[in-house]
Amino acid sequence: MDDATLARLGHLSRILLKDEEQAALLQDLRTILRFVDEIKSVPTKDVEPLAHPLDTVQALRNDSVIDDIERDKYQQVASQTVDGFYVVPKVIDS
Amino acid sequence: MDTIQSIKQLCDLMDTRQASSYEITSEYLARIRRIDKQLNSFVSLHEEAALRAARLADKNRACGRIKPLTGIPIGHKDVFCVKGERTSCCSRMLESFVAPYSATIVQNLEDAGAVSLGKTNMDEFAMGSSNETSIFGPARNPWNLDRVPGGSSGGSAAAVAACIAPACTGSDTGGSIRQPASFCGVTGFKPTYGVNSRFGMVAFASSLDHPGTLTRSVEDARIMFDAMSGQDLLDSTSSRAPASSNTSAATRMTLGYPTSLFSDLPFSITNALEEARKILEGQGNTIIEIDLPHFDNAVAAYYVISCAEASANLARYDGIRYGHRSMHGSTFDSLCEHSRSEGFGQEVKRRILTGTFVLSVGHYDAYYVKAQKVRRLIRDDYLRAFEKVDLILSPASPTTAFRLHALDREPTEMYKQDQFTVPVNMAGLPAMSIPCGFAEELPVGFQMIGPHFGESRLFSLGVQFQTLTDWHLKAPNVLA
Repeated sequence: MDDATLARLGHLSRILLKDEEQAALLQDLRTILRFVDEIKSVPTKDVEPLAHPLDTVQALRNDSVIDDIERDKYQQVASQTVDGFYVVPKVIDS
Repeated sequence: MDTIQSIKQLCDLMDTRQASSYEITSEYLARIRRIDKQLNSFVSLHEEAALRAARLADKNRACGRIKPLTGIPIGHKDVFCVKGERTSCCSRMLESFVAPYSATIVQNLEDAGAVSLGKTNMDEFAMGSSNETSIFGPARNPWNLDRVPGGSSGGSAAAVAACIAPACTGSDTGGSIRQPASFCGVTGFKPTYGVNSRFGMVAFASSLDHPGTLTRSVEDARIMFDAMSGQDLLDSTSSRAPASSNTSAATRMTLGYPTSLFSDLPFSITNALEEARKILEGQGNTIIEIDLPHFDNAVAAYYVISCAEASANLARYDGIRYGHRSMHGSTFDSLCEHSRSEGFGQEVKRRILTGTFVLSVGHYDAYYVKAQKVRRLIRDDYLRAFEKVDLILSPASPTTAFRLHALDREPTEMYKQDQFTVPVNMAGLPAMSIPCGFAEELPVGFQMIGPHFGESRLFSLGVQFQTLTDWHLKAPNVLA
């Protein structure tokens, strides 16, 4: 874990890291990785990864058409909308 | 009205017309106004809506339309959406988010007659074990205001302990119900993964998140569980298997006790646990030694998996569709970056960055897949143990409530707070924390862990313990 890795992680996770917080974050991430590194010593040959604690089949809803598109209601929580569209900075160069 | 009231006692008061829901709800709102400045356990109050719902509950009672929670006021952890009310997750990111719908468990509780008092304080996005990362400031422990109430459901635990709410909802991803329950001397319960719906609960780590409750007794936890649980087609991981709260399950059980795990604990904790063990043994339960070989690897594996899932879940906060939107950023990417940097606190950023690292190219197998393999070993340890025992006993936390800011610069020390609770989430098992004594005037709790869908055993043994002890009937004098 170094400055370049931290900068890359900041970019991947879209978190702007201020100069004044970088040193402390780098130190924290090093400590956390040292802490979690212990799992590498656990023998796991032939062990299948477990993604879900229960051996169950995912429940599915009926594949039917429902009339439940309440755009106005769900866009009320957005900061900026116009005519049902979300407003974002310009993404296409003219 | 007496200070300490369980849900059952409040129902009795209403049944015998000694008090109405309006009077009870008003009394709890008055208590919150009177003492919550000290505790900071509530971050928003639904006063008007609560009193309206209480009046309706009284009308329903008068007409004989009585459900298990009709007229009972409860608090909701600020991680659950309540329609028309702010759901902030105690983060700047969601500070102005008003939920357009209610979480399924909130709706289920309201359908059972419950009245929503307001939202309780928590660690930001439920990431913490002390309630200190909330943007609304820390909640405080009502037994000692210089101490933390635990976390992340610290506000719910403090409110129930201080008797300013008879019961509260909570969420538990690595111990966030059971550790604060232990710190505050209340009953904390989370059922098997998938038994309570996660729909409308702000996601932290989806394969580990368990909604549950903080209550004054096991009996109250059972009443809340009956109202909250059930399959929900809006949550794709909701379980179809029926979970039972029937307390007539076997009255004499075989209990597993992994003594080797408790060797480093302070005497005050092990002493309280030993006392609890003796009480249960005295009732004809058999205690046997068990071994959980991968227990010590659980916290490390948990932090890999939970951070990975958190980094994916929290990717949705882009500042565009909902949540905090920065005034800075002239491009889509920079608007996202500014919004997320301003909206998330330090602990949340640490976990997103950690999660991004363990999921990134070159590290995915060494960390994420490896942690998932360790997770299987942990779960299998429990499955093997439950071939021999009905329930497992353990401490709920390695310490009693610590001082505010004591672990500020020690993220991994804070993570170790959850060493007894995290493995249970990794395996998706039901568990309960019950008050079993005091150490230096601070509550101590012990934990009972059940097999998948073994809720009825937890309720049976919990009721048995609380019939014989009065730790759960004690309350701090913060209301005095």
